[in-house]
This record gives sequence, C-alpha cells and structure tokens, in this order.
Amino acid sequence: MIRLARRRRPTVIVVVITVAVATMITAGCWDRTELNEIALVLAMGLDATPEGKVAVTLSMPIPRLFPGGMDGGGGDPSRSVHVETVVAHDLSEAVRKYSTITRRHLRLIHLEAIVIGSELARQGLRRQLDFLTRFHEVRWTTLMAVTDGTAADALKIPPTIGTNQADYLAGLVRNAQAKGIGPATTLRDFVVAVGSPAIQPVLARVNVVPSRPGLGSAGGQTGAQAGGQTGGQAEGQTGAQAGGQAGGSQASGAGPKQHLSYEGTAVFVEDRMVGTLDQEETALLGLLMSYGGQRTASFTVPDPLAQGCCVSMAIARAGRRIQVVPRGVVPPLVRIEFRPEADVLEAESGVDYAKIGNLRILEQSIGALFAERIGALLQKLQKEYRADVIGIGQSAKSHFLTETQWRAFRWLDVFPDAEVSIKVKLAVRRVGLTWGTVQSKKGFR
Amino acid sequence: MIRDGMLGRPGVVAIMTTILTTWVFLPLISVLARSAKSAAWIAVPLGAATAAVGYSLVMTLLKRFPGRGLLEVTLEVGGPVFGRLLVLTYGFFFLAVAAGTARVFGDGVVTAIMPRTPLSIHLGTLAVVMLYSNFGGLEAMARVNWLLLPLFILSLIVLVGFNVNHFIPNGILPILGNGPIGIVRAGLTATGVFGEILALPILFPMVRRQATAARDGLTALVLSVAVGTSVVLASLLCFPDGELERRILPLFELGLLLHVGTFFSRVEVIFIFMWFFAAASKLAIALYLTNLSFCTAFKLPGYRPVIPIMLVLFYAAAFMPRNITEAVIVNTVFVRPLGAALVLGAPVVLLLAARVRGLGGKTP
Repeated sequence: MIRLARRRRPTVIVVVITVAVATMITAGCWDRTELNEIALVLAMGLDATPEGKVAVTLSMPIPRLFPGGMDGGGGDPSRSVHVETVVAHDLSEAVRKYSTITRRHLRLIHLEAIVIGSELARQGLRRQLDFLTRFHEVRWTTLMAVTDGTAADALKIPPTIGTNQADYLAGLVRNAQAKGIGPATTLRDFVVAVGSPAIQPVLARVNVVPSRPGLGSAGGQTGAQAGGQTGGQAEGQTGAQAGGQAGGSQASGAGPKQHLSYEGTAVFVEDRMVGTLDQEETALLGLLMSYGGQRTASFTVPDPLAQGCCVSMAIARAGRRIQVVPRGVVPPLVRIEFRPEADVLEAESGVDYAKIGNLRILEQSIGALFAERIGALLQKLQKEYRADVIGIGQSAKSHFLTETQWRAFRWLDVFPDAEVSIKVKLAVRRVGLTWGTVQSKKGFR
Repeated sequence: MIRDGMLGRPGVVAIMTTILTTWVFLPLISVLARSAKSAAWIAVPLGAATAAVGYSLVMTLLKRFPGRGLLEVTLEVGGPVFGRLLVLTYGFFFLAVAAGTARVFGDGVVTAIMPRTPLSIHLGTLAVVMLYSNFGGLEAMARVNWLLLPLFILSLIVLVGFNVNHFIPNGILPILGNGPIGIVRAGLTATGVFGEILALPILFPMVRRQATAARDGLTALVLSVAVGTSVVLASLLCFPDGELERRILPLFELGLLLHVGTFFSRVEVIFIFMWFFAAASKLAIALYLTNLSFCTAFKLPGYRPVIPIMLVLFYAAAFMPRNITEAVIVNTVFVRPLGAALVLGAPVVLLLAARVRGLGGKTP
C-alpha cells in the first residue's frame, strides 16, 4: 500500500513565485477584443449569383444610431444599420472578404435571422448549411426565412416600428408563430428536417411589399387572393379589408415606402425549395406540424347562418393525432384527427352564437370547412410538391423497431401515394365577453 | 490538509460520480449515436450494468483480502510479472483516459470558445491544476469534488431542463435504433466508459468505511447513469434523425440551443467553466490513480516524486493524436475497449487465479 508523504507547508519562495506569475498573467488579456472593434452581424442574406457564387448580405447595427445607444442619438431606421453585400465562393470567404474592408472583427454570435433569396433556395442550400452548422458562433435558434426577391433587398427594408432592422425581420417571423399566422423555422429545425427521413423542411416566406396608401399593401392583395381561392367572396373582402387597414397605417405617417410581410411558407424537398403555401394554408400547416409550428391560429370564414357575412374564430389550441398504417405493397393509410378548440372573435352578421343550436351549426360547418382545407393542403403537398412538411412520417416511425426497417419503408417516397383520411372535430368553447352583438334601436341591419 | 488520505462516504460518492459523469461533454455521445442511432440512450444503462457486474466481481475479490486495494491484490495474485503488468495496465488506462479527455476537451474549447488560444495553453492550464491537486492529495481532491459536483450536476440539469421546449417528439424512435447489435456495440463502448469505476477498488485502502464502499460506488454509478442517460436522451430529442451523429460536442450544442428570451442566451460560456472544473477534477484523479499504479508496480514508498514524471507523460500523450478525429478514434477504438476488458476480464482472471493458488481468505 502507498503511504502518503507528509505535506510540506508552502514556502515563501512558492508564494513569491505565484504572486509574480499571477501579476504577469492577470494584467490583461493578450488576445482581447474591445467592443468598438467588433461588428455584430444581426441578419444575413444569401442570394445566388449568375456565376454560381453566393452573394452574402450582412446587416450590422451602428450602435450610436440606435435609440438609447452610444451618444444617445439615432432613431432613423434607414441609417441605423450598415448593410453590405459580398460575393464569394462560400460564406467563410465572404466573411474574409468583408474583413478586408473593415477594421472590425465580424462576429456572428448575435445572428438573429438568415434570409435566403428564392433563386438560391431553389438551387439548394447544402453548401451554405455546411458553414452555418460548422461555425461555432452561429446559434441553432437563428431564424430562417425565404424571400421571393433577393435577400439583399429584404435586408435593406427599414422596420415599420423601431430601428433594429434584423430584429424587424426575426420579430416578424417570431411574431407570426406567436400570433398563429404560421411556423417559425430555426436553423436547427431546418437542418434536422433536411437530413430526416420523416419530414421535409419548411421556411417562412417574408417578402418585400409596397406600401400603397389607402388601397392597402400587396399583403391585402394576397389576403384577397387567398380568400378568393379558399373561402369564396366573403373571405376575399376580409383580406382586402385587412390590407386596407395595414395600408392606412402606413399612409398616416412618413413611413417607409416598402415593408416586409409574412406571406406564407416555402416548401422544401431536402435542401431545395419546390413551392410555396399561402397564408391560409400556412396557418393550417402550422397547426398540424409535428414541431416548429404554432399552437394557435385565427381564421375568418364564411358565416354559415348569414350569407355574405364572415365570422372570425381564434383557435386556442388544436389537438392532433396522426396515425400511419403501413399496408405492405399498398400505399400506407394516413389517419389525421384534428381537434381544434375555438373561440368566436367576431360575428359581423349579428347571429347569436351563444345559442347552443347556432353553436352546433357553426361547429359542424366550420369543421367541414377545415376538413376540406386540410384535404386540399395535403393534396397539394402530396401531388404537387411531394413533400411531407407536416411531419406525418414522425408518427410512422412508431411502427418500426429498427432504423433499418424504418429506412426501408422509404416514407418520403411513399408519402405522395398515401391514402389520407381526415376527421375534424371542432369545438367552439367561448364566445368572448358578449352574448350577442351590438343592436341599434331599429334592429340590426 | 491530508489526514492519512482517508476518504469519507461523501468523498467516495463525489469522486466516483465525477469520474463516471464527465464523459458527457466529450464526443462519446455522438460515438454512441453512431453505433446505436436512436437507441443510443439505452447503451448508457446497458454499459453501466455490464460494468457493475465487473465491479461486483472486483469487490468480491477484495473481500478475500480485507483492507487491501485492487493494486496490491493484483500484484499478489498475479505474481511479479503478470501482476505487475496488469497493475501497469491499470495505470496506462487511467493515463490514456486522462490524456484523451484532456485532448478532446482542449480541442473542443479551441473550436467552440477560444479559437485564438493555443491548445498547449489549455492543456498546460489543466496540467497545472492536476499537479497542484495531486500534491494536495486525495482528501483535498475529494473535498473539491464534493464542493463542485452539485454545481456540475445542476448545470447539466439546467441544460437538459431548459431545452425541453426544443425536444422533437419521436426523436428516440425507432426504439431499437440500429438494432440489437448496434446497441450492444454502443453498450460495450459505454462499459469502457463506466470501466473507470475500477478507481474505487484501487482507492479502497484509503476509504474510511470500507463496509459501505461497494454500495457508495454503486450509488455513484446510478447517479452517473441517470445524468448520462438524461443528457443522451436530451441530445437525441434535440438532434434526431441522424443529426446527433454529426455533432462533435453535443453537450455544447445543447448549450448553443439554449435561448430563454433575449437576456438569457449565449449562456454556453457559463457551462464551459463548469465543465472545465469537472474535467480538471477528473484528470487530477486519473493522474493520481496512474501514480498509484506506477508506484505499486515498482513498490515505491511514496507517489509524490512520480507526479511530475507522470504529468510530462500525460502532456506528451495528449499531444500524440494529430487531430481531434484521431483523438476520438484512439479513445473509442483502443482506450474504451481496454476499459471494458479491464473491468470485465481482470476480476475474472484474478478471482480464478486466487482460487487456484489458494490466496486470500475463503470465498464469501
């Protein structure tokens, strides 16, 4: 057995040496980087170039121009960020190239959003994902979005409120998820979905739209188009009204001439964008997604008891149960059970939806409408895009014991031919703070 | 102040838990995921259970030699040649574990946090801590571990707990992952990891309450399995469908994922500090065990003169792999299987030899 030697007391020499060494190594950091030597990239845009390179647009805040920032100045949204585009073979070369024209160290530690131009998205993002998943400064929670035009243009749009351009973009996507408009995909969600045999990726679609005072923005047009496609004339009116309101708010001040708008989602097969979904489809998609979607949504749909009128409903929570039944050589059967719980937000017709009878009619009618819309969405995903962005495959996994069996099932290949059965059971839980609508003395017209 | 270098029960649990838990911040998680895929989490308790079998055999062996540790028993039962070789192999194993852990940890810090600081500085810092701890002695190390372990465990709980909202449902399906063979292969790697439980039989003579030592070791093992399984499960649920296999430092990546509002983000640097202290503690104990093995093999009366020599060996061994890939391969292909062989094979051979040669007391 080892006998432990008696410990000696530290001598004066040891103490002196320790203090001397400590004095040398604690006097300063030899590879320090001062705050004023850093350029923080808050948003990054990626676009394809004709010569096969990538145009990287970097949006960096100018701290002294931020309200409450250094020098206490600022406030002009168009000048509070510095936007620079660099064309390079890859992202690291872009960062290096930019470093040749600035004295600051480019840091991606606070990168909030990555916007991808639609052309690059259609070509595929594999090359760019390599840097984003390899470089330690990029965090997994960075939000990703696609824009129909170029990412460079999207990053030059000043925010409607506030001065932080990157926060505008990321906030738009994050807010869309929080408000039930559509999913917000992070870098982690996207990377996992690109490599997954169970789900395909989806990204928010954020477009530059003109602000047209009085008439509503392009968002209004989109709303009208979407309404026309999915819900008929009444919804089209609603979309236009919403657009008009948005346009009005722009017109009231000396706001920007263009703004960004969450227009729906872009559907990917692996790393390539193959199509888009509009706002109505996106809201439904988000409720059905296995992850990355949203828990709530609101819809304006035709009133079943008043022709030409609309009723707005908020889905407070939506239960979903997806079952995949493998059937050997026959394409699998997908059973979707969707159980949304809704509140009445607005009934412009004046119909009293607090009455049990009316409520039942509303539940059945809207439930049928949802079933129809989910069917249409799945038809589009299966036949047109051949992409399971909902993540139905995640449910199919439970039928297999091993990875080999699961991969042999080739879910993403069989998904387009899968037979789908949809069951919607809508429950209207609450009707707001009133039993009925406001009545005039002569009755409601 | 060391008092005969005796370890109390908290000291035993703290030291053993630190030794058996610190693998979670190494690329071993992705190694397990590569072998077992979505069933990587099963490999952790499986490996621990196998290691526990070897551990109970060792403790059975030690019961035949009351008051003596694994090193002395090995030397007596194995004889001057085989016994000495086996004792040196224990020492080599812990030296390799220390060098491999330090190298991968150092490379991880360079990659993820301090890219401009040379690896030699990181390893040098660890070496200084190891040197100081070893001169401080076992009891000092136990006290430091007892102090730091709760913080280390807490940091892991926070890391797993705050990432619950990032979990992807069905991330651990298909439940058997790469199939039974894959799970067993990953389990063997895990057995090598938990093979470090041999530290307790080696430290056995310095345990104050030897009657409860076996149980304390198992307590540490269970605690480590709980922590390890949670971390692997969280990693699988955050990076499912094969993504975990591609992550070099999954625990750090869990830190990168942590984002609880604007004011609670980029917190991975806090965890790095915790991991540094845990790594330093583990390395110090590993060096201590190497020293003990070397001194016992050559019947040296004290271990302190050997510390600088072993430290130089440790430092040199840490730099032997040319890159992080080589370091991980050496650790996975050579060191961990050696650990599994030591924890499973050595006690069986020694028990048989003791019985054949009629050494020690009666078999309990």
